[in-house]
Amino acid sequence: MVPIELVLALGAILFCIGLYGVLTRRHLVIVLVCIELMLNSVNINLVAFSSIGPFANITGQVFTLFVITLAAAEAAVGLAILIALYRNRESIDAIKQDLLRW
Amino acid sequence: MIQNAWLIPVFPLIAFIILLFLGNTLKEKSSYVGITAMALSFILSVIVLFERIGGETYSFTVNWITFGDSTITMGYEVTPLNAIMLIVVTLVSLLVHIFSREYMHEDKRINVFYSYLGLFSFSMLGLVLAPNVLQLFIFWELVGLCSFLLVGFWYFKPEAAAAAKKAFLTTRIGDVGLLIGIILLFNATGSFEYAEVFAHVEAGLVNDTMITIIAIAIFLGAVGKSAQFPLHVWLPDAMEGPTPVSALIHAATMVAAGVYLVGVMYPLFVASSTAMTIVAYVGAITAFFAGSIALVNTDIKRILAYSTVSQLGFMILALGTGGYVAGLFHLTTHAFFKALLFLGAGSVIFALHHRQDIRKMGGLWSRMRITSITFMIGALAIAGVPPLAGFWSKEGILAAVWEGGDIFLFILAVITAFMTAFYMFRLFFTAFTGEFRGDHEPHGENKKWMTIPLVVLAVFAIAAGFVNTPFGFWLEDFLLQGLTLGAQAHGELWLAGLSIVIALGGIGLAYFMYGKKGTVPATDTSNVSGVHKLLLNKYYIDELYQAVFVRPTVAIGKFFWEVDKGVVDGIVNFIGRATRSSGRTFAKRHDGQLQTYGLVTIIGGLAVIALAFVVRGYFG
Amino acid sequence: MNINTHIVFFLILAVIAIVCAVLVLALKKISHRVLSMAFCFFAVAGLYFLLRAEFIGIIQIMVYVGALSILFVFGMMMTDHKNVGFGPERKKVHKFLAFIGVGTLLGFMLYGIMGMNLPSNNEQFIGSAEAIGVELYGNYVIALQAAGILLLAALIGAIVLARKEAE
Repeated sequence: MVPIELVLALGAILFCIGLYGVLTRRHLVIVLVCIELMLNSVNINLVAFSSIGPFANITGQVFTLFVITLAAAEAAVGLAILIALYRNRESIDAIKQDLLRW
Repeated sequence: MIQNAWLIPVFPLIAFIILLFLGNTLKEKSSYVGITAMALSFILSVIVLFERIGGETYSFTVNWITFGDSTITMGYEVTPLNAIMLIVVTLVSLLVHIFSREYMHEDKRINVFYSYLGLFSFSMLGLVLAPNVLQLFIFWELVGLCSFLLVGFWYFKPEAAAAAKKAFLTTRIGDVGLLIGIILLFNATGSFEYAEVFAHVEAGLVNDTMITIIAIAIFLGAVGKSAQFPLHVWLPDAMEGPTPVSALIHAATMVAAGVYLVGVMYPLFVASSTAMTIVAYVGAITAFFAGSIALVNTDIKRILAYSTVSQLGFMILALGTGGYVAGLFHLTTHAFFKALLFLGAGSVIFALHHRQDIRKMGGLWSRMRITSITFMIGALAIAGVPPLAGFWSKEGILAAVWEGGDIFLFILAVITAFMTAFYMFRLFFTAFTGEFRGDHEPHGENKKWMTIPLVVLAVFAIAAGFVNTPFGFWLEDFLLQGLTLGAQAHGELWLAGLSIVIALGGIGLAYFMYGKKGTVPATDTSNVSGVHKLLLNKYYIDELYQAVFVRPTVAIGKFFWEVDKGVVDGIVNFIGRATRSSGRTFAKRHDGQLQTYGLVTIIGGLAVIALAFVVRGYFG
Repeated sequence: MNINTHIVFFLILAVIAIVCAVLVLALKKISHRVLSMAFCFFAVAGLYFLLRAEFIGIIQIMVYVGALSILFVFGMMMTDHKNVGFGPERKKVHKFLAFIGVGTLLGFMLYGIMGMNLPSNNEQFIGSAEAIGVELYGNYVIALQAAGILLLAALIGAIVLARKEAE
């Protein structure tokens, strides 16, 4: 069996890559992709605990399902917003979306 | 009907409210609303007076606020004193309402004028009906407000605006004294009710020093409102208001409120001989002082104003020497004949297109017969010629002062009485007899709206004195019901003779100086000297106040203004500028970039984690 | 399969997932990036199979690799025209700070994971679809309904947002 620490480390690494992408990429589609990556890393953790954790049981997998549902909804709405944004402002560059500036 | 006495002030209030909302549509018809309301009030007052004569004091109160053991009530009561005051106020107010219809009919804001009159009548009647000091104080302030509004009615005249301000601020000094007195009184007796307060005082539960302090503080309110020395300066200036207002507020009712206040609180004053002495001296000095200024003045309204101050001083003097009935009797009669004189002056001023200088009048006797005759009746009454009202009441005051035993006060009173007769007939002879000296012929006698009130008041000026004569002291018996003041002084025959001699002497002197030869007070006043100059300049009181109070206050104000501008504003501006520049600096960091915010959030979160890590390890 | 085989497979999948995730950030063309994301998700799905959570793995492939990737491709196609202009890059300082910050976070997490000392569990739990179904429609039925409503709301919301205005 895989030591649980390794799986958790993988989750942490993916999470941090996603986070870095969210913070630095300018293309808003990629930002959304990175958010999906972060959600995925959470799923990895849930499944890992559900499967080889100290108190392994089914709950983690159930919650993984919920997270996936959420991720799907979020992606759909996020992309819809992107399309509306693109239509109105001719750009999906994260740097240019600064209407709320001072 | 006495149970419905509360309706008396309500009618004018209703008129006020109606005019407030419908005034602009009613315009000149506003006068009918006011006149109707006052007529109803007057009729009701008459009924209430007759019921009160045949009955008992009626009072009705409801609890207003309760705190601790004390309860503040609101309500009304009908005592002998305020039953008479009701008649005086409603009658004079009604006649002034009628008179103003013609006097003010050219004014575009006549509806506003009538609404103010309504508000004033309401406040004054409420003041009179008040069963406790606190309620009295509320209405006291309301009449002050109305006085301010009406003096400044022609606010576009700078003098009127200044006079309104002066009236308000000067009376305010007295009002502060009154408020302090009321608070001390409540502190000492735990009640605002007249009856309870007096019971406390008479039972000796309040120490003498405190009574004196309270009485003087309350008297300060009366000094301000009744324009007694040294707060008298506002009343002559208040003549800038419309003349009917002067007749109503600054002759008959509001200025009498100070005297009324002393009358209502009389048991308190009686309990302190120091306070009584102060009251008597203030009254006597004011009477003499204002009377002497009136000797040389040439403005018809200002002469009457100084005369009012002088007569109010008489009333205060009477109260201060124990002449409770004499003072209030004079208050009543004075209200009638002084209102008459003011309305007569208003009639003259109206006919002469708002010229008030008596040197520019003359010969009005043949041109305005009714006004002249009624004015003469008023002048005879105030001079104290028997059997007119002024004779009886003034004789009562002289008797009270004589009984009081202070010969100095008596001499002052006698001289003042002489001066009163002299300046009134100086005015009368100069303005009404001889040749017309103005540049604008009067258009003859005024309409009935103006003359009828004069006639009615003339009747009262003749007859009002008969309620309290040596042939029958009805007023005295009525007023003293329920009071334990001891015997009132009654003049002996020599005193009556003396006052007749004084009055006729004053009139005679005026006749020889002005009436017979038709001489006019000099127009050129630049080379007068000595006492005359002092009097012309009103004892330089205004200048003194200007130098002692106003200038230093302005100087202090300027100084603090500079401090404010330099130091306070400097600090505030510095803070403002620092905030703004720091805000501008930080606003640059606030660049609207989602990812910048995210980064800052992450770094902040890490800082928190790091702190927790340092303080208590990774898992606590 | 013995333990070593497990670890070998895990390492292979982990390396694929991490490399693909890094490629998502590093590649130039947007379509390549989305493709690399799909591979990353695929590797994660493989990881689920390794962890004996087959049902989740299948869902992962269906939702993420299938649906979401297509969705992103659509999003990319509807927005990524030639005339989409991109301004200057993020500042170096920003990137550096983000890197330091995220690195520190990763350090904290790894430090925590290594220091956890979880009690070992030698028996692998096998999550069957049936068990998940029983749990979903039993304990979590309200959450399930809520998730349904959420999806409905997201559906309607997405349509409303993406629809052309003034029609």
